[in-house]
Amino acid sequence: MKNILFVRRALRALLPGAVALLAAPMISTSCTEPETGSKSLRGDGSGVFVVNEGTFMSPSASLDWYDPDARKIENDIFSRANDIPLGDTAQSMTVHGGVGYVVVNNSGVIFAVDLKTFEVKGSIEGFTSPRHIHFVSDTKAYVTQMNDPRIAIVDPTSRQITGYIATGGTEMSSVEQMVEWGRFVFANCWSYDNRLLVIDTETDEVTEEIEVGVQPASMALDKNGKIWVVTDGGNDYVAEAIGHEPPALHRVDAATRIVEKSVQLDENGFYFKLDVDGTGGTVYLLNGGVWKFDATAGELPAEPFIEGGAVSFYGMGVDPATGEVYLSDAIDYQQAGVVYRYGAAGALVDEFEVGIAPKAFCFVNE
Amino acid sequence: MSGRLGILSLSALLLLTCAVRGHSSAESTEAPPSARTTEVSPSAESSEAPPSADLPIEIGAVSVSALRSLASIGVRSSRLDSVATRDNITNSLADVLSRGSSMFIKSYGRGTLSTASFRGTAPSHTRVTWNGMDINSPMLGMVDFSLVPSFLVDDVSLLHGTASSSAAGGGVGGAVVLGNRAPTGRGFEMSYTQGVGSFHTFDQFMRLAYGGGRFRETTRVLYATSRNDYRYTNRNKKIWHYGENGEITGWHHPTERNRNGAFGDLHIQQDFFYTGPRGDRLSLVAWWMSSRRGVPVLNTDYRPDNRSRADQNEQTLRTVAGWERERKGYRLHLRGGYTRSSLTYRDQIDTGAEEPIEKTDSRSLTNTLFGRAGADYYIDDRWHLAAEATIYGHFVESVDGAVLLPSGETGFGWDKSRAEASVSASVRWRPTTRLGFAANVREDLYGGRFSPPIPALLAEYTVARRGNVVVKASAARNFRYPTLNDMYFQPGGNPSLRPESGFTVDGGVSFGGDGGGGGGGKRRERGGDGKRRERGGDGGRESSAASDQKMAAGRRMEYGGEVTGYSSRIADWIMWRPVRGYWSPQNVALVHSYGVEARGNLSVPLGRGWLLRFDANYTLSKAINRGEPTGDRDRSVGKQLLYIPKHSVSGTAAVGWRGWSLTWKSVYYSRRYTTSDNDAASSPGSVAPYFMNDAAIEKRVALRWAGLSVKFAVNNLFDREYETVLARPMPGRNFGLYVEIAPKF
Repeated sequence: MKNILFVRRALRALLPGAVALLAAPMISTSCTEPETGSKSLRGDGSGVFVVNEGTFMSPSASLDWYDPDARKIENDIFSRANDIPLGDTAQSMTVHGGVGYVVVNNSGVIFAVDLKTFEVKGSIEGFTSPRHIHFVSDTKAYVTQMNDPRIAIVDPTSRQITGYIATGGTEMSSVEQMVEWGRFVFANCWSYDNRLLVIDTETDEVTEEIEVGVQPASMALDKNGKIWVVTDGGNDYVAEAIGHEPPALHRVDAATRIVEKSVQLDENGFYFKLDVDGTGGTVYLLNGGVWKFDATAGELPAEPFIEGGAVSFYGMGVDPATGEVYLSDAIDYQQAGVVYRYGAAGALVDEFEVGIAPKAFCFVNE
Repeated sequence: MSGRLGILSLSALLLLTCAVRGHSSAESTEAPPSARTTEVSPSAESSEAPPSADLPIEIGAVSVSALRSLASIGVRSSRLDSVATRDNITNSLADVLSRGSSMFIKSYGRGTLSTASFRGTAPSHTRVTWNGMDINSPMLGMVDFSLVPSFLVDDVSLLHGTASSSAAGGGVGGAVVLGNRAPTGRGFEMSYTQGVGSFHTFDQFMRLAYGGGRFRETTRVLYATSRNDYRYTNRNKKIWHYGENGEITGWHHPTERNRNGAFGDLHIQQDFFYTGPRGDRLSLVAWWMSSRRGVPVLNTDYRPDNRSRADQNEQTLRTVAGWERERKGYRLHLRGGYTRSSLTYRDQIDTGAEEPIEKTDSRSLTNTLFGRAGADYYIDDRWHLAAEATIYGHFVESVDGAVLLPSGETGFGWDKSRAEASVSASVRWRPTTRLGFAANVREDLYGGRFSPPIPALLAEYTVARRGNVVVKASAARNFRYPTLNDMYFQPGGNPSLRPESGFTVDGGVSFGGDGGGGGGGKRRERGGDGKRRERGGDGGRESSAASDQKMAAGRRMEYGGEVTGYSSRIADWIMWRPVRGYWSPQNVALVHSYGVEARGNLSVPLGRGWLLRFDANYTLSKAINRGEPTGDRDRSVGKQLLYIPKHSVSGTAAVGWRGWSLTWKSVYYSRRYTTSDNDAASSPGSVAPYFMNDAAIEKRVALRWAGLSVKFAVNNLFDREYETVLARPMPGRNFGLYVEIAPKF
């Protein structure tokens, strides 16, 4: 009798568990929230961040962290630290006040990320199509947007959009990078455009427009107050709207706003990018391969600093501390990309795998 | 890339689907007779005879009842069981195909773009014919199956791989053959179904049919609307909780609604059938649809829920007129068709201005003319000759009205036409009752270019008459021509693309019969047997009642099955790749697609009116990139193509008893990679496998004055969270209640 009672009790105790066990995989997907943060994942607050676009219209953008001293790459640090994907089409990353700001274009969000733990410290929303963030001060930053004739003004401390700067041009105006000279921010209007904007950071207004060539794709400010601009010249498809011309490199004087020089370029690759080294004395141009020249030079060198070869590099970054050049290869834009690290003298130092469509680099030197 | 051009073209393309595929409208012969029995049709005036020559060629008066059909020699086809098509008339073909076949349906959400992959190939590798006319978009190459309601289609057959080569050109993966049938009843019939479902979904179906003497007609109207704003827990987002100093103190996953997923679809379809005194058959079918759909946003979108939204509208008219003469020993047929399709895709961005700005305003108008003539000649019961000529003329205008020109005008587009023609001839030979051969050769002309001759060879041997065990093998070449978008899309169109060329072999064994020992020559394809088509009910469409009767009436156990192995090599596979600032299609890949398809069906009468039915499909699909690596670092070679599951399983179980029926449908897809190097470690490098279950219970009542049916369906029975495309969550458990009334006149 006792035995039977015991069996009954045991059954009573076990049955719900058994039922739950059987039912659990059928009914639930995840009852338990995964814990935030991968404990073993930790950076040292400096190094190279690689921003991977991912494929458009998919949540496959990602962030990698590379330690140049240890030559160690940590992939996909944002997802690993936060258990959510970075989003759709990451575009750029900027560090300010010891915090990394990652702009995710097609998700319409900017994540503030801790440089050591890679955990989110806050997010800024409300954009239509953010591209780059530039900090004017601790409490004011500009965010450029694509297909939106407004640059957003953001207060990073409150994570709010506090206002907008009208960019002129068409209602589809697209503004890309920003560089700051004196109290002015210069911004290039790329798609279907040919202008640089000059923004007064005290009034938050566009005070002047500088016409360069067709579709200024990238720019960089050197130590002499010259803004280098590369225009991709457009293509047959934008020809009717803004013209089609060969790509060109332009030098604009930040003080006089005059285009001092324009050099026609060969079309070697698919993408153009400009950068300067830490001193601002050397300019790097991505055009198939990499062309390196002194900021005071009158002409482009005859030979590239780094050959492009069969690879069409997708992104370029120059480490301001070391002058090392990082180049990315997106391969087929659907698989892990590769980054090649070249020493200051142009020799290949390292290569490592990153995320899908590696686009931008962010260097953090303590 | 990025930049407006990149994004523009991409967004348009995405909508235009996975952006990578194109189209071939190269056409050729009519669909081969899906496997139907060779039972001689009693007379040419078979009211059941499909108006469409797509369906079974009835072999005149040749007495071959002991034989398998000449027309189906070696053909690997499957006919979607009527249980699948009529089980829920509110289902689109996307649902029906995913539940009832071995095809993989890639769906961007409920009521959203759904494309099919056949044997590991791309959506444009599946040809879709409707009453003989190709309905793949000449711009995009594919068909959105979410826009094809099963209510409008009477017959659905799948032609796997090689089998499609006699049906349509370019079916590298296979073909889906849709057809309308004349109603079988006498006098007027009417039925109305009202559906009410979760997410404010309302479905209205009206069907009128008339059958009498030589003239028959069917009118169908379908109007479906849905707010489609299902809730889901968004595990791709976190809402951060901030402390007083702006530090994060916690987080939670938000519960969100499917944003901008509302849709409203109206379909009107009119069919006329006329049978002449000497058995000539005339048919006219016309289908007009108007669809307005929102394009749901990804669940990684943090943008405010303002006036920014993308919409897709489509108005399409398809018409096919046919004439068919069957006499002793020969058959002639003529067919002409016209398609007009207007498609708009608008993407608006709310920039806070008075009016949202238009980022994309893509409009296209496609006109297609179609004609076909063919003849079949049955020399005797061993030889069958057939020849056919087909022509398509596509006229496409495409413009993006959002592009502002300096003149102040907007609009940027292209305007192209292309003629596609093909001729084909086939011979079928059955030297003995057990052995059969078929050969088909096709020659295509598209846009002024000739294809090489495209041959297909098929053979079969009946190993055992008991159980009708048949061994089949086939081999075929195939070509798929670039779509008009592939060639002319702005920006990126590449007019110098070569057609994709494929070579496919397959082989397998099929069996089937009934447990009553009848066996012998009668092959029972699922639902394909004339005998199993019930008269009455609601005619052309097999009504629930009919199917129910069928279930109950089945006094014998019936079974069938088929296992097929296949291997295809497709060279010059077209993929869109980034070039300067935009994407452009290139002939880049060599793909080896191989695997195994298996299916089985069983129906068992249990006595006392009980009947059990099972259907199951399994596909092992390897679609491997065998192209040249683009560089040392390219790890995509040797890997599975994107979004192709290695394993897919679907099954249906149904039990019927005295007007009651309970149906259970399941589908399983294994992991699908989303990166070409199949690196599932990079997140999110793949879409998780899922196992989906739907169930429905229905009661039919036959009253003196009307037939009534009430049905309650539960989809996603276990309330699983799942996606078929990354960041596009599918709905959780949802319900539908359907009431049908069919007054008797």
